[in-house]
Amino acid sequence: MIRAVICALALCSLTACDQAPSASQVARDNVAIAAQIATGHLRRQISQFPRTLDPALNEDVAAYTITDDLFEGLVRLDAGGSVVPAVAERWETSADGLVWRFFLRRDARWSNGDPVTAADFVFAWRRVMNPATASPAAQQFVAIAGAQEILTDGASFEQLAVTAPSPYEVRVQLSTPTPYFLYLLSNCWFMPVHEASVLKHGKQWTEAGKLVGNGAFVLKSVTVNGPIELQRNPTYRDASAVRLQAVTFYPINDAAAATARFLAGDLDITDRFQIGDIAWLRPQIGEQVRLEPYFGTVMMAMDVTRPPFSDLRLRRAMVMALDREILTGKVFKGYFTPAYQLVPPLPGYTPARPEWADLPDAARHREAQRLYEEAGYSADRPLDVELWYPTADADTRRVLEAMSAMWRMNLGANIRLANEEWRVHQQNRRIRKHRLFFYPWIGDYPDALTFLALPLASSGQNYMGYNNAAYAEAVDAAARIVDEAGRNGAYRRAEKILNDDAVIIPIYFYRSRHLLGSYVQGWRNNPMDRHPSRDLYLAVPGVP
Amino acid sequence: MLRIVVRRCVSVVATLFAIVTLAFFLLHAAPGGPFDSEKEVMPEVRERIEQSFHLDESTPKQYARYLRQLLKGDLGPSFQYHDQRVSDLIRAGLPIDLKIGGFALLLAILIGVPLGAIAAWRPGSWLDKGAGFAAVLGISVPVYVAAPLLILVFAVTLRWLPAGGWGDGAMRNLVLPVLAMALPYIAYISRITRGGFVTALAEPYIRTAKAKGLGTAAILFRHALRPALIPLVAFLGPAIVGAITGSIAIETTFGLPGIGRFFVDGAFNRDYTLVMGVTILYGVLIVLANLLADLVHAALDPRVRTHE
Repeated sequence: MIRAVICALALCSLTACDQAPSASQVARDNVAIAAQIATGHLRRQISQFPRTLDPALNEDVAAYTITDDLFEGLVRLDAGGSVVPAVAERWETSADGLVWRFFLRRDARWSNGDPVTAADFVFAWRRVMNPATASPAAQQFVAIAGAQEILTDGASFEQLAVTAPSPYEVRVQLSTPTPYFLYLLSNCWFMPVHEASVLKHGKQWTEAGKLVGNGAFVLKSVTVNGPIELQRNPTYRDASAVRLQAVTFYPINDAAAATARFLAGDLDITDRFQIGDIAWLRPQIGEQVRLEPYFGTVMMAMDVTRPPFSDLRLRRAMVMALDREILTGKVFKGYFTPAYQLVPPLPGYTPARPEWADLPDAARHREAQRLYEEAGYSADRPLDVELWYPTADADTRRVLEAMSAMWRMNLGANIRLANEEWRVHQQNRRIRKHRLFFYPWIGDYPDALTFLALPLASSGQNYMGYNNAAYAEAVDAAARIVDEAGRNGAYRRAEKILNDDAVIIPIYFYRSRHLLGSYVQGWRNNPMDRHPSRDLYLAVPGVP
Repeated sequence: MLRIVVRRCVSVVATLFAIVTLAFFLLHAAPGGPFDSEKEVMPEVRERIEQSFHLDESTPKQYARYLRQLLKGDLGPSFQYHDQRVSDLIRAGLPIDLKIGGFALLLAILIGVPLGAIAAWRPGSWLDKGAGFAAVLGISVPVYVAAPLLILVFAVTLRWLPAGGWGDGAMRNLVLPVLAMALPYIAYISRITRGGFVTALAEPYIRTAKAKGLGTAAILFRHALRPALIPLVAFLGPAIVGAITGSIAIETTFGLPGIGRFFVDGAFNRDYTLVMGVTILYGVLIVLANLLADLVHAALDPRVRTHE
């Protein structure tokens, strides 16, 4: 289906659409844009209909995006992605970084006029831990004292160490210093919920007309698989800073369909576009095509506990044999950046780039070949293994095919691509059925730990079976360092161990992809790709 | 006629029971569960979530629970859309498909039947060949190619109509999806009608009508129409169901909140209750539509009535 849409659009690129828009079309567009600006109504694409709008149960990006507009936590992210005060006007931490005291603003209000108090946060957080809520986010709270015991030992959810010493103070006791704790608090699971309406309406409390929020917008209407309409919240504590009158989210899971609707003037922001479409989109709409760094890595992973990848030499050969510059340069035309290590670019963090990454191609290939032969493989006895991946878009498939060809060319290995349906793939990874598999990851918070924790023995995502005590200690020690520079240095040492053990095969770093109307203002790129509507507004470019 | 209805009603219950049972066990046998996701949840959390949906019970026990629930007319909560019940999801989505599918079929009949009739009047003429060519085109160009092309022309380039969205069912939002959906139906209907007419027109009573000096329109629409429509009626039964239960291609391309997507998304997400709900709906509609088609067939063809 997607391919056909692309075909149709590609057809368009070969014919009329490749040319710059005509003068009459520009004039007509300008009239439409002026009308849109006058309404103050923003129309955004989300790539799926959110499973729920309950902050405690959210688990998809669409839901995160909408709850960012409907609720506000102790802190929030500004347009650039930095943590700034929100319901909490200030906070204090103890010297050991374990006790946090948040002091709440007196003027924060729920959309029904009730004051937002510390008790609302205590209720919301404990609600996530309550087994009756069955929240998939409960493990996000393990940094808080008591959470681990609630999860594993069956302790009461009221043991979570968050209290309200006064109506305007939230006190949190952590079990371990958590440098990214403030960022964590900007996520939906830590947002307050209105106790009275949750108790009154039960599961239906998130319906339009029942949902009481404290964000910049309130829920006006919801159509399942259709538009979700929000309007400005007059009781919002910082209502004067909100310039939009209304926001509508359109769930469209087909990127090509979203692109068509953007071009037809039906959408102001899209969530995604096909990477191959840039070639004809750029000449047509120029800077409205946004391709920005995103905190994610596309990689392959190997099961290190079983042959053939229990052999370190073979793993190293696999990692080194790929020509990443060609993969990103030729297959993706330079739109993505090659990855040589796990952690994507992050301000303040210098990644541990492996030494082989700077070798000339020929020398690197020779070294990979040598390791491959040392591991006992040759032209007569080639490595023959399947690379498992979930049903993916054309872009991903092309990269995988190119990789398979490179392993064949540079090593002589026979890597066969094996595709399976998405849920089946998730299950098979979990039960460790695969030896070589697709393993993309997007960070949860802007700290190297969100990546470095993946190959820990305690991690749910360690499908590689990697278990190196030295690595675990290095990561654990680093995570306890409160000072950012010191912590990043320690993370780097841990990442080096991971590089030496060649557990994963990094391929390239993600980029966020949006189409953004030229009249949408206030948008700033940030690596977590979070853009609350609160900071956005519509205006003619250049006019404040 | 009454006997057809009674006999069918008895078999409907048995058919539906078989559908429910088969669908339930097939769905649960599929690898991967509704809560297998990219972000692995802790085993304790997974346990909690599965408990809340009774997935910790054995499949036969879950089946018994589902049947009990179903007898009370409850399709259960959706696994995917946490705050919604399956019956509410269907109630919200079905009217959209009814409207689009209904209009598309109506358009297809209004264009397809006369087109087929005219083509059959002079087989081999340029009119017949032209209609045949258009039909082959309509049948062979899939919706997912036709729909983006329609968007490209009428929404992106000409800006006459929106590129998608439901817009509370406004006419301008309906035009493109209805057209995209109607195209293959127009083609099928015109071909089937043509076939029906060609057969009917070769009958002796048509020759008699011609010999009596009746006009073209009178022969086509008074004498040939009824027998010619019998194959079309047989086609329309299941076609109506297909059209009103939504098309995944149409809904995805035009971003419509219908139930067609529930089938595919539900299956991908292992949303057991949602897929069951849509399957049951589809089953009931198919059985009803076939019954209706048989009744119409009986009304059109006196021989069927005599046999019964």
